[in-house]
Formats: sequence, structure tokens, C-alpha cells
Amino acid sequence: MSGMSSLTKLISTLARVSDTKLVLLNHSNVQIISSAKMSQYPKYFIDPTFRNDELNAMYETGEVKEKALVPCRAALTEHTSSEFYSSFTRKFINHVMRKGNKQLAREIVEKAFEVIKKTQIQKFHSLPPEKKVDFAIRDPHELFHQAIINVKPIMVLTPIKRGGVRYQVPVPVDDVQATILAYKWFIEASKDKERTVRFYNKLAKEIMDAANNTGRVVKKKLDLHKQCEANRAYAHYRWN
Amino acid sequence: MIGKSVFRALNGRQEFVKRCSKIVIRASSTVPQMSLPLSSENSNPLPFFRSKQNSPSLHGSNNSGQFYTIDPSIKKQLFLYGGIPKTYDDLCKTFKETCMMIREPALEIMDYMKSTNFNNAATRYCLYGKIGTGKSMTMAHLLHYGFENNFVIVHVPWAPYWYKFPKEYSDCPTKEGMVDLPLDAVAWLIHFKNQNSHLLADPKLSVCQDWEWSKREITKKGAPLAEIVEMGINRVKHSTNCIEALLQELKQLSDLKRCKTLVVIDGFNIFFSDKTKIKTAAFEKIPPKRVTITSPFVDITKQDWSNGAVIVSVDDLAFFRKDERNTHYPRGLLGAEGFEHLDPFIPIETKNYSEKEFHYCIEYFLDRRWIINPHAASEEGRKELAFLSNCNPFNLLKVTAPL
Repeated sequence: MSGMSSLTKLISTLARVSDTKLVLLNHSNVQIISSAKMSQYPKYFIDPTFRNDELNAMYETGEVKEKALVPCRAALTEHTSSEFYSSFTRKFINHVMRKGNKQLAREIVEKAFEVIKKTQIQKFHSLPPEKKVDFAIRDPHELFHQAIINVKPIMVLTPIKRGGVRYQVPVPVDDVQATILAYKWFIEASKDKERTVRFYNKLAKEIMDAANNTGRVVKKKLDLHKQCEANRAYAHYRWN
Repeated sequence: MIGKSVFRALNGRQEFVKRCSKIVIRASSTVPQMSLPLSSENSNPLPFFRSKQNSPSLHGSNNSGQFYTIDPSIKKQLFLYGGIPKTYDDLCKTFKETCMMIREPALEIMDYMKSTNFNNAATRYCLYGKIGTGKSMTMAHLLHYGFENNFVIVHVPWAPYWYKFPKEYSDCPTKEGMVDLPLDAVAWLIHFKNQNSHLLADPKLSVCQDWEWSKREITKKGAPLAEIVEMGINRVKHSTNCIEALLQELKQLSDLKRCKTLVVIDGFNIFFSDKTKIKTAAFEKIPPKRVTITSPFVDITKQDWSNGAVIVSVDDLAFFRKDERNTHYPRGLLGAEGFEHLDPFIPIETKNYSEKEFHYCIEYFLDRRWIINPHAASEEGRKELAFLSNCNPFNLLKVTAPL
């Protein structure tokens, strides 16, 4: 009996762990399948809680007592309790980073946001007072969020081999993969520039264009969707 | 100064926030930022962080922390060739207005200048302080004050430019072992002419002695001072000699009470350093002492003339990166020789923002829409900004840039 209760406790704790799946084989046997691909930590380690509001909520519900007993992964450098923390932007900074130079990547992305902000403010201050009321200066983080939403593809083409021939088959893509593709396209588009143009200036322009549903990155997504539409005859190859 | 932040997850309460509460800052309103009315010089009544007084002569301690607006025409005349730091100038272009904070160091110097006996030798003020605390901005404020009170302005926006990024250098034909910076000298004369155009037309400013530039080119006694300036601008070969002549004339004219002179030099400590990027024709690197443009400006900061003031700033950034002395005090930056030259002087320290100044600055940024992130306007956000920037004016600009 006690064995069952300790097992159910373990199951309920592990069920809250983000990167494990539980498969109930029968009422007493549980197979734990982790969907995390590679990690220095064993599978049962939980993610750290570093945001003030989440921590306070944990204290209020009493969840902290349970979580304190479970081993926890170390918080990454980017996991701050800062008021200005945006997990979305942090992920993008990681993708921009080269050779582990996080500081440079962060500076570049922050400068791009500064440029976005400056162009908006300059436009705003050039307007006559009557028109200023209608002009909204959007937070660069919000603009970037909107840009990513506009650029995320729903389907991509994957090569599938059937009968010795490789077909480009349209396949739905999940949210995480779509976001990663979007990040990659932004970085590629910002790198494709003249020598004298700065990366952060190009990136700022691309973000502002994409937030308006125009520009080359959105065009790339639309081209991909067109190709998927064109190849829809091969869609059944996904399941053979 | 706020102590180090300590994040104790299991204790629960944020120690970081507790220690930041040393700065008691109340957000001015909980109104969402977009609906805040935009203020400008013309709005009536002015918000608390803006000053009604746009004339530096009328600034007092009751204006401390407030922003005053500089007229675009005055900005063009005074600061066209330098004077307002580049980062801040960028900001002014973005906001479509040039506003400066009225701070204690500037008020102090203006106060002294109002009560100085100008019959005595020219007082020397030395601005010092950590990087980003507002030395150049204070000088810009004082330039405006000098301009308003009809001082002849001798302004070097950033002296190290001559030694770090010289436009062109050549061996001096007349003085052996010295090197000329002809184009930089011409550029400075153009800057001088632009700043003092309204005073050079005054007939009282006439040359006190004959100046011979070459066998055929002479400026006679009694000619207008503007002639020396024009000679230097047109004849590049004689530009440094013209600067020397001009500054000597200004000293004499000030003594004779025909004008009053305000000397403002930013990065003065470079004149007493050991290194420049300038080389002789024989590829020998030389110190600033052997550059001809140094001596007139070192000479005018001496105490052998009256009816004027000398405001000088010392900055660690003036030196080359490898030679930085990691101090912000005048004795360390000027060295023995420089200190001997400048002593006695009145040292004025520029400091990081006080609580009040920080609050006013954040309000100004919010008003100009420089800070868009809604979290920054909240009390927690402000505490974080104060901590990240340590209330240093320059760092606050950098920290709020991506927000």
C-alpha cells in the first residue's frame, strides 16, 4: 500500500515535469519515456523557477514544499528575474549567437530593438500634434513577437524516398520547429547585405517589415507555402 | 549605492528588491504610457521635470534636475562643430529637441562666475568625475551661459581628437622638431568664427600689435580681430600661427577690458600626456608638447591675464586605451607637470544622478517615448534601472536603449 502511494506521489511529481511523458502500461506499472533529446541531467530533474510571480504563486499554493525535494537543474545565465525578461527574445539571441559569444549576440539584438524604437520615435516627433494621438509606438519586443507570428510556416517540404525517387512532400510542422525556422530565416535575411550595412540595422528593418506582413522573410514563408500547395499530390507519401 | 543583489530562491522574498528600496521612487502615475500627454516647450502648464527658464543666466538651485530646451539656432551656432556628446546628440535628433538637465556642477560654476571679481586673474575651474557623469554636458551648459553673457568663447570640444585622429600632420617649417596640424587648426578657427560671429563684428575687438605672417602678409595694429581668423582659414600654412596670435590677442584684449573671454577645453589632460599618433617626417612618434597646436591652448590656461574664466575637464578617456590611469581625480590625470601648471584651480566634481535627478530623467524619457516597455514605468522597473545603471547618466541611456 505504502509502495503504491509513494509511486503515485512520484508519478504526480513527474507528471509536472515538462520533458517526460508517462505511459500507463497497467494500473501499477508506469513506463517513463523522456522526450528530451540530450541533457547532462538525469531525466527526473525539474526545470528551475526563476520568475518572481511564479515563485510567489508556488509559495501561496504550498507547491514549493514538494518541489524543494525534487532535484533541480541549474538556471541558465539568461534566466533572470528581471522586469524586462522576455523568454522569446532570449531564445532568438541564442540563435543569433556564434561561437558562444552571448554578450555580442545580446548587444546586436538589443541594438536592433533600439533602431526599431528610434525610427518610430523620430516619425512620431515629426508629426503635428493632432496626428500624434493616433500614432502608436509599439514596443520592439511586441513587434518582434508579431513578426515571428507572421513568418512562422504551417507546412514545410521534407524529402521522402519512395521507389528510389526523393519527393518533396508537404508536411505539417509543429510550433517549436516553425519558430526555429522563423528565427533562422530572420538571421539569414539580415546577413544578406552590403558590407557597410550593419547586421542590427538590417535585422531591425526585417523585423519591422515582417510585423507589417511585408518584406523578404514573409515572402520566403509564402513561397514555401506555395510550393507545398504545388506538391500536394505527394502528400500521401507521408504515410506511404 | 545599492548593494549586490542576492537571489535566495528557497527564502522566497526577493532580497534584491529589498535592497533597492533604498531608493524611494514613486511612479508618477499608473496611467498606461500611451495615454500620457506629450509635453513640449509650448505645453501649458509645463510638467515638473521641464524648466520654464531656457536662459542659463537665470537658472538657480530651484531648477536643479529640470530639463531646459536649447533653441535650434543657438545649438547651430554653438555646437555645430562639436560640444554636445555624440550619443546625446543622437538622442536629441530622435526627440527633435535639444534638452539638457540643469545639474549642480553647472549651477555651482555659474554662481561663482556671477560673483567673481573679473579684475583679478582668470579663475580656473577643473571638472572631474567618473566616466558618464556629465562633464561634457556641464561644459555645454556653461558654453550656453558664456554665449548669453557675451563672452568670447575659446572652445575645444574634445582635445584628444587632434592627437588620436589627426587629419593631416607635417613638420613645422619654422620651429625645429615640432609638427604642425594645419587642417585641424583651420577646422578650429572655423569653429571659433562660427561661435563668435556676433562678437567679431564689434569694433572694440581690434588687434593690439602687428603680426607678420610672411614677408608680404602682415596684419597691422588696429585691424579687426576677424582678420586674423580669416587669414588662418584662408592660408592653411599659417593656421597654427594665427591661432597663437588670436589667443595672445584675446588675452591682451581681456586685460584691456575690451572683451571678456571664456576658455572651455574638454579633455585637457591630453596636453600633458606622453603619446600621440602623430609622427615626424622621420617616423618618430612625438608627445603633445612637440605639436604646435598644443602651446597656444596651454598658454591661455595660465593665470597671466584677467577678465575671463577658464573651464577645463580632465577625463580618463582622453588617454589612449593602454595608457588609461584608472583614476578620475585631477592630480592623477594631469600628472605632476599638468598639476603644477593648473594649480591653483577650483575642482568641481560631477556625480551620478541623485534620487531626484534619476526620477526626473526617467520621467523625461517616458515623456519623449524613449522608454516604451510598460514594465519600466512601474516602481519595480525603475528600481531595476537604477540598479543596472547605478544612476550613472550615460549608463542609464545605454540600459534604457533597448527598452
